Amino acid sequence: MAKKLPHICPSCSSLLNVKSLICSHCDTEVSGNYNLPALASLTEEDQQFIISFVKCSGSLKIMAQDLGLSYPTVRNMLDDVILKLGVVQKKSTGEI
Amino acid sequence: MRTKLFNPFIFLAGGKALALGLAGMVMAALLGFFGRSHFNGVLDFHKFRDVLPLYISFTEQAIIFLCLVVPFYAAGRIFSRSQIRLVDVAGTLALARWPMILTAMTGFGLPADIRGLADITAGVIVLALVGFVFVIWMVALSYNAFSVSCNIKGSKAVSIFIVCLLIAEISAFYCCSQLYPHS
Repeated sequence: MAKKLPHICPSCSSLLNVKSLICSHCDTEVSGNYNLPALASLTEEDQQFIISFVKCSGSLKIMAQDLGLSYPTVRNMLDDVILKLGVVQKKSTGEI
Repeated sequence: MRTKLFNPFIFLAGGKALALGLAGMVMAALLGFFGRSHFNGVLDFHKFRDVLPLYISFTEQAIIFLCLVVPFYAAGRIFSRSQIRLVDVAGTLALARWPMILTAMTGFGLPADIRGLADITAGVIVLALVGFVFVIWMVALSYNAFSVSCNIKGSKAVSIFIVCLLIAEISAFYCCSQLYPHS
């Protein structure tokens, strides 16, 4: 089963930060308080959308053909991701 | 299935939708002409006593289409945060008028002249109700066409849609009424 990276606190719904990173080869552990990258803070579905967008060289027309959706539907999905990224960035900078 | 019936614009928009929509309008105009019924407004469908020239049926469709596209595209440009395309707004709104083909078919069963209550038979009432259902279906399709092509959702989309539909209806009704010499 693929593990999902949690990015929202189950207690207060704030964005989670990274406390420690570990090297799976030598077990070296780095501790600190790091913000999650903006893209990692999006849902898996949104991340998959961004991957498809990059793979299609940013062409919404090609993407619409690949996904079997209409052009405005794909453009609306992109606009929703842009909106979510804006919210995530505002949250991480403490504006919200 | 429900999505395909009420929101096919998720899968189809742009030039293809426009071509299909225009073909549908041609069919509705021809059926209306042969059934002596006319679309004299965005939501209006009436059986006429007199036979009017074919060009009037086509002109009605062109007027309705223009009266629909202009306010909805303008509203999209003003209220949408997305880069909307005219071909998407026009294409989806044109495709949303496909139920009018079915409405035009009901015109064949309706009497041209209703002079009294005796002329309103059960069959006429059933046909009128069926035609009304198709009009409601068209309105639902038009709302989804606007919502998808302009990326406006929720209560904002509903209020803008109602205002634009009223503008389209009033302007199309007025323009169509200028076509009929006796009105």
